[in-house]
Amino acid sequence: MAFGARLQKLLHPGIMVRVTNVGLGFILMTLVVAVAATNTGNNGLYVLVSLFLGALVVSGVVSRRNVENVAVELDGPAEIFAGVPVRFTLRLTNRGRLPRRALLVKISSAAAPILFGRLDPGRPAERGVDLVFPRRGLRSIESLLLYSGYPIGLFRKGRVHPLLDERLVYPAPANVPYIPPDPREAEGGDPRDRRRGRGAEIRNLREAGFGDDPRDVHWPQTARQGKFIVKERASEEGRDALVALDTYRPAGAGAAWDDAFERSVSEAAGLAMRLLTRGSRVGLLLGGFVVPPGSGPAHRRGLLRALALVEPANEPGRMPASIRGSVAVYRAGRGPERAA
Amino acid sequence: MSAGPPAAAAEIPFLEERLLALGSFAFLAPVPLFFSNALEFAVLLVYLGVLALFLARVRLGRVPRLGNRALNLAGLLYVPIMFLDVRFGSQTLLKTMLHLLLFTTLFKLAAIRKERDLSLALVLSGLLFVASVSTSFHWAILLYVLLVTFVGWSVLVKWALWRDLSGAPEEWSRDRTARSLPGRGPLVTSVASTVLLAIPLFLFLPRLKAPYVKGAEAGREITTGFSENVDPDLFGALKQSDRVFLRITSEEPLGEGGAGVLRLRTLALSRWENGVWKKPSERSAVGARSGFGALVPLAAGGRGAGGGTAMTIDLTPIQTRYLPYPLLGNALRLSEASFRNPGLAYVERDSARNLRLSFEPDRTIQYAVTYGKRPNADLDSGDMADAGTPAGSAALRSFALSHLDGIDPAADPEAAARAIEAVLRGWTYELDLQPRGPNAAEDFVLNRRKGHCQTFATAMALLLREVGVPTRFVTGFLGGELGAFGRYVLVRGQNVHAWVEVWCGPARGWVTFDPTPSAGQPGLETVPLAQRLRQVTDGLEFFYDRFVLSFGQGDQAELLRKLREAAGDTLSALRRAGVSPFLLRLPAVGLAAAALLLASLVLLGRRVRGVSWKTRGLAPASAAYRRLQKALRRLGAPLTPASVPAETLAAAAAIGPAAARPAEAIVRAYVRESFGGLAPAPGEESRLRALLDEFRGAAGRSRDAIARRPSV
Repeated sequence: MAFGARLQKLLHPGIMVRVTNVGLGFILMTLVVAVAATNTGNNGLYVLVSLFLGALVVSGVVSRRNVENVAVELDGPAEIFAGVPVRFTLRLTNRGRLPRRALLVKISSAAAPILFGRLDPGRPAERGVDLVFPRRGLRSIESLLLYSGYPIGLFRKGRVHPLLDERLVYPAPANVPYIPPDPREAEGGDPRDRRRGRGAEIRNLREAGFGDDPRDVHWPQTARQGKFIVKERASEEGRDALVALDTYRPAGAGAAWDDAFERSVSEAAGLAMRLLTRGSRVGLLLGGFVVPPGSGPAHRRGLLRALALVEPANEPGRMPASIRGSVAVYRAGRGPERAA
Repeated sequence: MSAGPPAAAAEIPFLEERLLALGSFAFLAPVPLFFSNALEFAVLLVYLGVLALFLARVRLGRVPRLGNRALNLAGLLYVPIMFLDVRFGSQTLLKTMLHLLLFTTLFKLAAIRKERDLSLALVLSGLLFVASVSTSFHWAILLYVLLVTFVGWSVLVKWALWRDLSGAPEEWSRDRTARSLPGRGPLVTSVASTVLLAIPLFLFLPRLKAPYVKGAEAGREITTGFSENVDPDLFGALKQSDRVFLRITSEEPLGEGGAGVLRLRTLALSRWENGVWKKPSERSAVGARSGFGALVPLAAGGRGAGGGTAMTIDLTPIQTRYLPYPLLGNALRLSEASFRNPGLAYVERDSARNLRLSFEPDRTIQYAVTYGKRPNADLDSGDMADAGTPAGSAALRSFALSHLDGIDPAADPEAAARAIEAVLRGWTYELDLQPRGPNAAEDFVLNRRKGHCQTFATAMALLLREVGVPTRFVTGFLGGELGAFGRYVLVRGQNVHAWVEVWCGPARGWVTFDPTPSAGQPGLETVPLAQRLRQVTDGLEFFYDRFVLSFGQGDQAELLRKLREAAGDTLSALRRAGVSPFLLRLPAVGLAAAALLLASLVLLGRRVRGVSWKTRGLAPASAAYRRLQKALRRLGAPLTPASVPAETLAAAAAIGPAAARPAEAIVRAYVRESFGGLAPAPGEESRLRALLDEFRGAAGRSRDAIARRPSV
C-alpha cells in the first residue's frame, strides 16, 4: 500500500476521500495563485491564496463531519425471490449534534444515489427503495455507501456502512400451469399408501387398542373374529409428494447446463408451491439429499431455503430406500412418475 | 442485486441552473477591473450587457448553444481584433489579456456541450476574479472578495449536489431541503471560519519578495506638492484635498499637547528662483546615514538621545523622499517592518534639517519619533547663503523697512521677524487657487493682502530677506483630526501648511515663525458625528494600505518578535509573581503532552470505532466464522465482518489447501447455522474449536514456508 494511502487510512479510518474534478481545479488554481503571489509579492494574491487554503480546510473538515455519526439501516421483507422487486426501507439516523446535509446513499455501484437533503440530529429519515436480486442463493447486501460532496464539492467523502445483512434469496417459482394427477390417485389409488386420518375411505382394519374411537369399530369383522376390530380411515388430505431435482452435473457441462439447472430449480420451487397449495405434504429430493414431506408455513420456508442453497453435484444422487414407493415423485421439468 | 434503474440522464443535467449560477459569478468577477483602471468601461459594459442577455435567455429556458462553425469563425475574427487591440487599443499587455479572457468566457458560456465545458467556464470566471483582486489597490476590494466568497460558496454547494445527482436528477426536485441549501446559518459559519483561517495564513505565508505595489493609484495622480520644488501657485490645491497623508499615534493624548506637537516639518526650501521655492544648492548630507534600529537626531547638537514621549507616524506615499517629523522631535527611528527593502533604506539629514530617505516610498511606511516639550535649537547655518539671498524687490524692501518700527534687523533679527509676522497676521486668510504669476508676492504684499499659508510664508521670507535676515520657507503639516477610534490623529491634505524659519544669530539659530492668520492655521479637530463615517473609511484605507497591501517580510518578522516578546513578558510577569521555574515550564510540557494524548486518543478512537468484530453472544458456528475472518485478516486478507462466506473461503484458499479445508468446514457450519436454521449438534463447539486450531496451524505453516522461500 502506498505511503499516502496508509497515512490516509491511519488518519481517516473508514472514510473514503476522493478529490473531485472541481476540487482538483480548485487546488490547481490555489497553486497557481500561490506561485504568482510568491513571485510578484502581490498581497491581493496572498489574500486569495489564504482564502483558498482556508476554504480547503473548512471544506475538508465539514465534509468529513457530515458523513460521520450517521447510522444507516436497511430493512426488508423476510421472503425475497430472485428477479422480483422488493421494497426495502432505508433509514438514516443522525447521531451527531449538528444537522447533516446533502447526504447520498448508494446501495450498489450501479444504482442511482438516494438523496437526504437534511438530517436533523436524533430524527431518523426514511426512504423506500426497490431492490432486485437477480440470482437465488445466499446473497449479501454487504454495505451501503454513504457519501457527500457537501459543502462545496471539493472532496467527496464517504463511509462504507457494513450491514452484516446476508439474505437468502429464494428461487423465483416458475409458473407450473398444470400438474397431471398421480396415476394411482386418478384410479382411486391404494388407500394403504395414504396417511391415517378422518376421511371416509378405510385404510386398514386392525384390532382395537386403547384410545380408539368406539365409532370406528367394524362390527361385522368383530363378530366374525370374536374380538374388537376397528377401521383405520385414510386421510382426506392430499398424498405425500416429493419434488425431485437432478443435481448431477456431468463432466464438461457448460453454461447452458447451468442455465438449465437454474430453470429446473425454479420449476422445482413452482411445483413444490403448487403442490403445497393443493394440500399435499411436499418434500424435496435434491440429488441424494432429502427434505421429508411436510406442510405448513415453516416447512414451506424450509423447502424454499433448500432450493435456494442447492448446488450442482459431481455425482448422481440416489433416492433413499426408506421413502422409495411411499410417495408420488414429481421431477422438475419431467412431470410426475412413480418412484422406482 | 441492483436498485431501480437510474433515470435517463439528460444531455447535461441541471444545465440551466448551473449556467445561471455560473453566469452570476462571471457577472461579478470582472467588475473591479474597471475601478482599478485595468479595463475600459466600454469593454466592461459590452461584456456585462452580452452576459445579461445570455442569462435572460437561459432564464427563459432557451440556452444558447453555438456550433463549431460559429466558434471557429469567432476565433478567426478575434485574431485581427486582438492585433488592433495590441497595436492601437490597449496600452498594456494586461488589458489585451483581459479582453481575450472576457471574450473567451462569453463564448465558452454560449457553447456548453459537455460537463468539461462547464468546468472550463468556471475556471475562466475564476481567472477573471483573480485578475480583479490582484490588480485592485483599494480597500473596498476586501468587501468585494467577501461578497464573492458568499456568492461562490452558495454556488459551489449547489454545484456539488448537481454533479452528484447527475444520475438521479429527480432526487433534486423531490427533496425540498436540498433545494434550500446551503442555508443562512451554515453559509455564514462556513465563510466566517474560512476568513478566520485565512487571516493567520495571510500573516504567516512566506514572503519571498517585497510586496508588489502598483504606483499610487495609477491614472489618478496624487499631487502633494512635497516635491523638491514647490510652485506657490499649485500649493493651495493641496489644501483642498481631504486625503489622509499621515496617521499619528502617540503614547500620550495628542489633544493635550496641542497643535505644537502636530506641527510637522517636511521640507525647508531656501532658494527662491523665478517665483518657485527650491531646495538648498548645498546637497551634502550632514552626519552619518542612519539605518534601521539607529536613532536619527533631528537637529545638530539637539537632544538626539531619543528621550521624551514617543509617537508613531504612518506616512502614505506623497511623492517625496522627505520625512515629516514634529517640530518638537528629538530623534527618529525607522520601523523595519514597513519597508520593502530594509537593507537599502537609510535616512540622511541635510543642512536644512530635512530628513531624506534613500528612496521615494511607494507604500505606507512607518517610523517612530520621540518629542519633548520645546523645539530643539537648530544652529546649523549650512544653507545660509541661499536663505540670505534677497529677491531684489525694491517694493518689498521698502514695505519691510516701513513696518519694522525702527528695529535694526541686523542687530535683532528675531524682533524684526516678529514685527513682520505681526503685520502679516493681521491680514486676511483666503484659500485662493488662482495662479498669480512670478510677481505674486509683491502683488500680495502691496495690493491684495489676502492669501493662504504659502502666500503668507513666501511673503514673510522675501520681506525678511530684503532687509538682510536669512529666512527659509518650510512646508509641512499643522494640526489634524482626532481619530474615531483610539488615540490617533489623521493628518489630511487640508492640514498641509507652510511657515518660515528665520536665522536669529548663532546663539538662537533657526527660529520658527508662522505669519498665516489664525483662521488659516489648522488646529486639532474633533470631527462631528456625521463625518465619522469618512474617518472609518479613511481608517480602512489606511489599514488596507499598511497591513494588507504593503504587508511584507519585515511585518512578519515584527509580528513574530511581538509574539515572542508577549510570551516573554507573560513569563517574566509570572516569575515576578513568584511562580517557580518548574511550574513555568509546566504549561509547555503539559501542552505538548495534552496534544500527544489527544492525537493518540483520536487515532486510537478512530481505529476502535471501526466495524465490530465481537463474538460474544453469537451462536457457536457464527462465532467460529467471525474468529476465522479475524485470523484471515491478521494474515493480510482484506476482510470485514460484512464479507460474505464466498470471500472468506477465497481468502482461506489463497493460503493453501491445508488451511482451506478446515476453513471450508467452518464456513459450511456457519451457513447451516445462520441460514439453515439448524440447532448446533452436541459437540459442535469443540469440533469448531478444533477446526479453528487446525486452520491456524496450517496457516502458520504456510506463512513460514513463504518466509523460507528464497527471493528472486
